[in-house]
Formats: sequence, C-alpha cells, structure tokens
Amino acid sequence: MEVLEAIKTRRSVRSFKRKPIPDEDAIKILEAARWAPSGGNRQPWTFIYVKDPQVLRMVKNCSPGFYGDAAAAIVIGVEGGAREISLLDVGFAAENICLAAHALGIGSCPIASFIKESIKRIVDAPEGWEPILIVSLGYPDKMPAPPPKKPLSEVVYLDTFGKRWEKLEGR
Amino acid sequence: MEEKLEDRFFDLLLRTLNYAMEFVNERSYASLRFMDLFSSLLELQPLIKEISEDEFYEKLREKIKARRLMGDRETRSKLQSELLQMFIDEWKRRTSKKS
Ligand SMILES: Cc1cc2nc3c(=O)[nH]c(=O)nc-3n(C[C@H](O)[C@H](O)[C@H](O)COP(=O)(O)O)c2cc1C
Repeated sequence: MEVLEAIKTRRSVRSFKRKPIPDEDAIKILEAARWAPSGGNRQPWTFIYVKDPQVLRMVKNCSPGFYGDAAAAIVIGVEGGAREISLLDVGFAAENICLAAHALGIGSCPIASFIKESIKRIVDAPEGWEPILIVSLGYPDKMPAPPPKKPLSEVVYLDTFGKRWEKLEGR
Repeated sequence: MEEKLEDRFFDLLLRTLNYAMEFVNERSYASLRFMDLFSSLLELQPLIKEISEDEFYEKLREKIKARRLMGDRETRSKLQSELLQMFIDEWKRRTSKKS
C-alpha cells in the first residue's frame, strides 16, 4: 500500500474478527515501530506485545478506553517517566504501528485511557518504567467511516499565524 | 474471550474498580459512585450459585468493610490500590492453576 493512501485510509478500529494475527505480521509491525524517529535517537521505548488471551483480558479489564475483542495489543512504555520528549517519541512509534498494521490489513486503535498502575502490575513492569500508550490490533470486523476532519484551510496558515493561504480554500 | 460466568463476574468487578481508579483524582463523585457499584456487585456474588471461588470475594468484602468507602481521596486511592493487587494475585493464582 502506498504511504499516502495508508495515511488517509487508516481508521481507529474498535470491532474485530476473531482471527489471530500471524507472528510474522506482528514482527513486521514491531519492526516499523523500531524505525520511528526519536529525540536524540534515544529510543526510550519498550514495546510489550500482548497476545496471551489471559494477559490481554486483564489489559482490557484495566483500560476503560479499550473497545472490541482485539487479537493482540502493544503496550508502549518508556524508562524514566513520561518526559515530554518521550511522549513525542511514543507518538511517532505508535503512528508507525498503526500504519504498518493497516498496510497488512490489520486494524488498530491507540488507547490512552488505561490505568497505569494496573497495567504496570499486569505486565510485571520494573520500577521506573511507565506505560504511555496501548495500541489494540486485530482484523477489522467493520471498517469505520472516516470521522470528520477539520479542513486544511482551518488548520494551516501561511508564513504567520492567522494568515490564510488562498490555495487551501475549500480543502 | 470470557466464557465462564465466574470469569465474567471477575472481569466486571475488576473493570468497575478500574473505572473508580480512573476518576480518583477528580473532584467529582465519579470515583465514589463506582466504588459504590463495586461493593454492590460484591454483595450480589453470594447469590450467584455458579460462582464457586467465593473465598476471594469474601476477602474483598472484608477488606472493604474494614475501611470506610467514603473517606478522603488518599484513603480511597490506597484502598483501590490494595484491592487491585488482590485481583492481580487472584488472576495469577487462577491462571497458574489452569496452565
Ligand atoms: C493519543 C491518543 C489517544 C487515544 N485514546 C483512545 C482511547 O483511549 N480509546 C479509543 O477508543 N480511542 C482512542 N484514540 C483514537 C481516537 O479516538 C481517534 O484517533 C479519533 O477519533 C480519530 O479517528 P481515526 O483514528 O479513525 O482517524 C486515541 C487516539 C490518540 C491519538
């Protein structure tokens, strides 16, 4: 799938088929995460790939924002607390995960609504490691319709704040 | 995912506890309300005859009785954390028994 097409057609998926993800595809997705940029190339992240149904069930129980019976999930965490730069790094890695999954026909959803303390205990996290984001994964049951996105003319200015770019009118 | 009623009840209780934890730092009553729901669900358990693992639920009931649910935010947060650990320990015990 072409990158620009993948970016446009990726959706947050919250309803999944009961079909496991082949390990080889999961590894491709994690490989995409590994190649994400990070501030100072620090790569502060650790990715916990959760596929054991018992662990996944507990992750779901402790994540109020986790919807649907996903086949797996990736818990992305960082060492040394949630510094602003680490949060940005995790965001880049998470987008790579979502796009790589989409290119493989696998749906995903970023999840920030989870209870950190619970997730840390479920995955036996060491002191100082903090989960930042969870990404659920699975074959989409239903692909959601595109949500409303603000038009370019509303979110882009030219050269200075507030200055409209006439080329963007109507886009 | 959850087939047995026993597991479904366990999941429902733990989810409710986590909802309560989600709002513990907010000024609203949301966390308290979810704790109310949590204890009501716990009271329901002895009436459900399909649930055999009642020792665990009895321990939870005792824990809640020992501490007043109202209390300040810090007390509630500490109680929630201890209840959470009881769920994690019970989950580990049950999964090691299954495997
Ligand atoms: C940082 C972040 C946190 C999110 N947390 C949740 C969440 O907890 N639960 C959920 O269902 N969706 C969550 N989402 C997904 C958004 O709701 C979704 O991206 C948005 O509605 C736009 O839809 P789209 O991803 O299909 O373009 C999150 C997205 C981001 C970027």
